[in-house]
Amino acid sequence: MKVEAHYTDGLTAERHVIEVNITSEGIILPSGVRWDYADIELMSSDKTDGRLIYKNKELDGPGLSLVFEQGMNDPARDYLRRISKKLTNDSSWHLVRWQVITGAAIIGLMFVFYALYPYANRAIVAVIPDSWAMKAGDWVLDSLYTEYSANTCRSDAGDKALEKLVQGVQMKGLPYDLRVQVVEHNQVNALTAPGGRIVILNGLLQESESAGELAGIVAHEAGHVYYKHPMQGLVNILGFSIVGSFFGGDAASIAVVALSMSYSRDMERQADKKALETLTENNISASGILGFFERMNKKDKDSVAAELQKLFSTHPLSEERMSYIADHIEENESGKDFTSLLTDQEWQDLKDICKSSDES
Amino acid sequence: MSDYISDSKSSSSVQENHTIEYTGTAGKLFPIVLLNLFLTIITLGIYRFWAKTNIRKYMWGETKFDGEPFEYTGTGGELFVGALIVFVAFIIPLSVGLSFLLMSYPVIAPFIVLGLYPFLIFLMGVAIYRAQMYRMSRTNWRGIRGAQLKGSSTYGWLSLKYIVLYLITFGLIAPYIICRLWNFLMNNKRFGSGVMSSDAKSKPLFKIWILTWLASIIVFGGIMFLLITALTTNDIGMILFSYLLLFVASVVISVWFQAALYNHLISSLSYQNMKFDFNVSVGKFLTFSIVNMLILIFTLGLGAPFIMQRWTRFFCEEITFTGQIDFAEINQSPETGPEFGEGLVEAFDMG
Repeated sequence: MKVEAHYTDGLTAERHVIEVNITSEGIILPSGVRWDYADIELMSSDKTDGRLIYKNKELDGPGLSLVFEQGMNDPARDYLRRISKKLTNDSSWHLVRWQVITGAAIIGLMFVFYALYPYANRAIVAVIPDSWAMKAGDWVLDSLYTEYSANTCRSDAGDKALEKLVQGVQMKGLPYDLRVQVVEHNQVNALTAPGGRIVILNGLLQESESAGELAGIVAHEAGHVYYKHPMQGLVNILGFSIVGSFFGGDAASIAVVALSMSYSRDMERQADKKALETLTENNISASGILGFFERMNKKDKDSVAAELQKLFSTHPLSEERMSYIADHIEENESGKDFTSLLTDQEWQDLKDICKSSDES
Repeated sequence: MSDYISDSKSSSSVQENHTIEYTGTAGKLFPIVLLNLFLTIITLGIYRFWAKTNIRKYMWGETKFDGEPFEYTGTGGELFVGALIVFVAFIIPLSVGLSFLLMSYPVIAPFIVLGLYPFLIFLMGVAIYRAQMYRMSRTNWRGIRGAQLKGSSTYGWLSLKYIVLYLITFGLIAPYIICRLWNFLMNNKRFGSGVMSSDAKSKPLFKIWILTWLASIIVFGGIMFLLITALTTNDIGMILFSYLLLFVASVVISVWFQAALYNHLISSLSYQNMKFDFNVSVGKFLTFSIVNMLILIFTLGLGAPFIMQRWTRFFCEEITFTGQIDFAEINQSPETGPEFGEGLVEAFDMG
């Protein structure tokens, strides 16, 4: 079927008027060159005059614009439509399909990124020198202390008792020496900063009823130190804010928060496991920390705020966590005798560590 | 290929002027925008590179010079990789370096950041220029590529130099700066072997710029006075009125200069023997700007692609050409352009 066409050869911008032959295999140019349908891409279609503009994917530059005498109803146009709807743009579904595939591929890659991210994080943390980690820890704590205008609690007897308690919880293979401090603050919490710095808030110290309970908490925080979790967290914050900026948008920042939370829950599990091993090695009962958790759990069971906190907290007091500890006790501690880490006097000195600094 | 008849031979008898038209409509654009929006949201923004490409493919195709469409040959993948390279080579080292600086030297760090500003301005110039290199190289017409010749670092330096000049003259020098940057950008554009040129002189723009400059000081000063009075007396109605006034004034006051600027810049362009002419009235430009603003406000910014389309149509409708191009003389461009696109411009959020 012969049709008038406009041809550009990709060498100049000149337009040549030619006659092409439309066959079942492809469009044949006067020079004898055949454009196979598989290589033809529809560049543009003009609904007003029915013209179709093609380019050849295999050739760089040349373009072919078919002119149909009878516009949209030209027999040659019909013939092309029957070969493939893509050729006459009567179905734009193939375009939509490619876009959806692209979107799905992006989401797939995001999942791969999600799965590989923890390894990248650990690799980064591994190459950060210890001196940097210490500096970062000091920086984090300094800014926290300033923000909450909190003071470190000290007393000679209290320091001595704390030292003894920390010495009693020996964890093997720690990357740094532990530096444990009690800080004047009412919240029931403890935290670990990079470089082996552990901070026990006075609220938590007052809530704990024995040296064994506190030892369990110190062991848990030491577990974080063992895995360099605080540095991982710091790299996360920086990394997520950087990666988030590449993603862009509010949806991205929400996803980033959710992501960092799911990582931190894994960290808590790791720290718990390490803490229980250490307690057993040091002949300290895990029933202390279990008792502490159960008391805390009972205390805020009724409040909605506590339920919410459970959902969003990085230290969730979940049933899962407690039953994990209970299982450990059942397996490892039956029939064992435990001695207390501190004497009653030492424990009292430790509990009063913030009192004496008030007086001074 | 002796059996080909070339149009240039027959065109020697009738010398019709070249035309440009835009055939896109809001109805054609809408489904593209909708799918883009959906995929961009569910990919947390990553799809935006492909979304941008879809819009460009559509808009280029609807822009027709002498009845034949332009073609955009760029891909979303190229934009994505371009952005990724800039992200890894610039953004990550810069963010990590700055955090480290802030942590280690909290006292002097802000000064170091301040010292980065000239570098960032230079980089922004480079970004704008490199984006043009990518876009021109991905623009085809009748199978012939466009090109933006190398010159991004010169453009970066020019930007830095002119920003300093702008600051020390309190902005009075603006027309000179705009014309110089425009000429540099345009004189380095090619389409095939055909040469774009621009000789915009700033002199005719100074009168209207200085009037605009003085009017802004008086009007904005007045509105500020009104606003401060309203704020101190806690007059809510007056505060809202002042803000509305500020908003309207910022659109209206610059419209004379903007219309004059576009008319002047575009009319100073030529491609080979073809001269551009652009002559839009202030009234028309004002209506156009106000409608754009309203669309943007009422669609909460989602209407941006429609605004882009309106601009394209506006230009195509108002531009006229005189003089003929001999298409047989326009050879394929030797430039192939950058491999990946526009990462820097993306980083500055100017894309």
